[in-house]
Amino acid sequence: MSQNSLSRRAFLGRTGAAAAGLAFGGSALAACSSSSATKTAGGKAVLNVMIDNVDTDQAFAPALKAFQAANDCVVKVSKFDQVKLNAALAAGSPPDLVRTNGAAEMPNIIARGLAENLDPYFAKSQYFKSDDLDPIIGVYKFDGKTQGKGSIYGIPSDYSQDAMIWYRTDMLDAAKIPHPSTTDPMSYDEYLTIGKQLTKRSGGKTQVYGFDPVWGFDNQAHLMQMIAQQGGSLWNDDFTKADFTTSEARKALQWYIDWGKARTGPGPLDQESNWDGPVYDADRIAIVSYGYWFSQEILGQDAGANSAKLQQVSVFAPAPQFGSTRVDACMSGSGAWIPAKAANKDLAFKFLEAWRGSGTDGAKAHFAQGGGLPLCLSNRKYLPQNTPFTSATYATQMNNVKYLSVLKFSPYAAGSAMEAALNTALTGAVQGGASLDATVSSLQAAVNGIIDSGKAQLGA
Amino acid sequence: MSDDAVSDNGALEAVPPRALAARGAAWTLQRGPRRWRRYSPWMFYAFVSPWLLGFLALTAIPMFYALGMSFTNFDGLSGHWHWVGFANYTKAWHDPHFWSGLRTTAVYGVVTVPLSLAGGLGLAVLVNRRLRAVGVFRTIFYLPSVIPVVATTLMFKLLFDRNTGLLNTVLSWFGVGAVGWLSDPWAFKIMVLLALWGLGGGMVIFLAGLQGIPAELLEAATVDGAGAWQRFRRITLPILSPVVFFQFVFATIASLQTVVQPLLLSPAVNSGAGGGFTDPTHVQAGDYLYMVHVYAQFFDYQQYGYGAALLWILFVVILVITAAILRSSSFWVYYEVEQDGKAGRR
Repeated sequence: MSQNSLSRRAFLGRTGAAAAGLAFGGSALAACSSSSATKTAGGKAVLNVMIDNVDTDQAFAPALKAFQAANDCVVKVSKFDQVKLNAALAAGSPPDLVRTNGAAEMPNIIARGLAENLDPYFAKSQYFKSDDLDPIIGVYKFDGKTQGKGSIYGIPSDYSQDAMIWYRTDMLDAAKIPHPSTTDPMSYDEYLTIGKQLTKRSGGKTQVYGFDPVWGFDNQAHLMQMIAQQGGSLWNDDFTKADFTTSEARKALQWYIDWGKARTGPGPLDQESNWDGPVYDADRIAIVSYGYWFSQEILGQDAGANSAKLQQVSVFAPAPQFGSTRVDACMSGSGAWIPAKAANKDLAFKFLEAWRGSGTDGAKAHFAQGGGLPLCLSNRKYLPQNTPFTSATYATQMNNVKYLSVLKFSPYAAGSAMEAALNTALTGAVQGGASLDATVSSLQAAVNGIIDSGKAQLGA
Repeated sequence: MSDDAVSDNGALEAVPPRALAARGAAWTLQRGPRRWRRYSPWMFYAFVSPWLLGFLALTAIPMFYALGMSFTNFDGLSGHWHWVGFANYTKAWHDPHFWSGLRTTAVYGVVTVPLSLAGGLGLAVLVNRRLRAVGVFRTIFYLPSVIPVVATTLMFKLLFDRNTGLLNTVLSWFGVGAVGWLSDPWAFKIMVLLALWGLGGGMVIFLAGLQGIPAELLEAATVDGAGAWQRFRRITLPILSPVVFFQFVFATIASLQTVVQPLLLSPAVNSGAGGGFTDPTHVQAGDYLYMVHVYAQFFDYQQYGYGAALLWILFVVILVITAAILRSSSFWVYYEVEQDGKAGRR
């Protein structure tokens, strides 16, 4: 064998050492693969925006073009992707702006030190004045312990009181059911009763669902609201414990189990291949619990040829109540935050101003479509009121907004983890017939584990 | 039988197989006064380096990275993580969903692997004939395996939807009430059916194996009075056993790694506008495979460390099962070419 040749054993040994060495430097490779360019070849700044549809929103297109021209930059838009975001954050090269579902996610994101404190930017902003900000900004505030107080870490794109009701007058009239009031709320039990009357089945198929409180859409927030309406609270003062054993929590959980078994809406026993919007557009839901933003679904392309009819027969009403305390919270308030390690923070905040700031073209174009309520009170005048449907919807919303509250979520529990725990427990109860006690017990154990993990990660 | 090599004086010499194998790719051919230069081992490794680099970068490194992660409580997002030793592995031991997922996956594998092998082989036997337009049938059987699994799964979801699916519509013509095909207890059976949708892929491989069987063997058996079943059992199957072995191993590994199908068959998450995405906690209990549980740890619970531990546990399980299959192959796999100095059977 030649003296210069490499023996197989030596080769395998060196290869193994190389693999082990490279494995410990794996994060460096991740950084290479996930870093985003911050400058174009021509030297223009590149603003990386991980928010869905910013580049395809026709209404925002002129404002986007003007923003790029005014700031000599290129806005590179990517769809929100949790996996890519995780990789980018771990590698230290995150996008400049990131979409969030809002309420349940922000405390956890802020507590992990991922989000930039925007107080200095707000202090200088010409488009976000402190006396013009809707109380919804509380969703993006955090003082280190409690959501709703302290510094600002993001903004909502828009918001709604997400448990409000949309009902079909034609379906209620056909069943001879009186229309719910557009100013005074009904109870969850009343809606469930009506829902059972309105649900139509034939041959084992559900043709029309009577009432859907939108199972799967921020279950944690819905539960927290139902408990608050009874005067209770799911979380303790420092958000280190969620108590599902209280009478208020048990009552709310039992209601969901009863609703699931009644099969008045898509749920554990009745599955749909799509979310409630297309199902509502297809005349298959009589009462659905969505906020002001759902008017855009009725007005928009998804409703198609049915839009005109839907506008005539859809009425907006206050959220149902589960107790004597009127609580009508925003459960999401999806928006955007600037990562602490973003490369272009100043430019990112300017984008937020152009996107949703007071009186900007971007804000005018967005709110004219009725997709939700604005962060800036001065932008409310752009909300549509030019048809009977939009003016009636606007009136109901403005009458109801005084009951808006900001729910407070725990920084130790990721929103997705809480949703997973709730969904698993309640599905087991509805499908498998587990008792309420067993459901509460399993849910409590799961959530305790989630909180313990979160506290360990945050060093609490 | 040993291989021969040419000695320095041009004569053929017998080279024991073991010695020949030990030289690896750097084998020497020396003949008469003209000597060929020995190929340097570097040449061989240079040619395999593209694959080797890919293996290192895309398989080995991520695996060891995940192994390291499995000893932490990394959440996938922030720098707030700590070493937790074997806590993730002991957590798996006490996790009821870990065991139920493993059990469901085992049942899934036990059901789908034999069915897919038998189905693929059966189709291959059917189309291994000189019939008119047999090519058309081969194409028809093979086409479903070409369609991407996501498209197929979504198609199944539409077909078997309780309220709007085609199957329930047809059943309603005969007065049969709608069945919740995508809910328990039917969800698992639909997932199995989905797995068998791609039988054509196995059929093609078995067909290649069948066409490699010497015709004279089968003719001789026929002359000797062997029936069709006897010929199949005594000649076809043994000669085909290496192909069956190959399919068995790969089908088993694939079944243990299934994740896309149960996720996509589950009902949509009823979120806000544009919603309808999938979520592992919406997967039916009957479809809650081990990999679905792993997926939930990463993307619902943000427990990257625990998820990585589960993946390594699965890796060990796959290794053990594959080793057992390999070990068993000495009893039922027949090779025409001698292996390790022994004729016939491996």
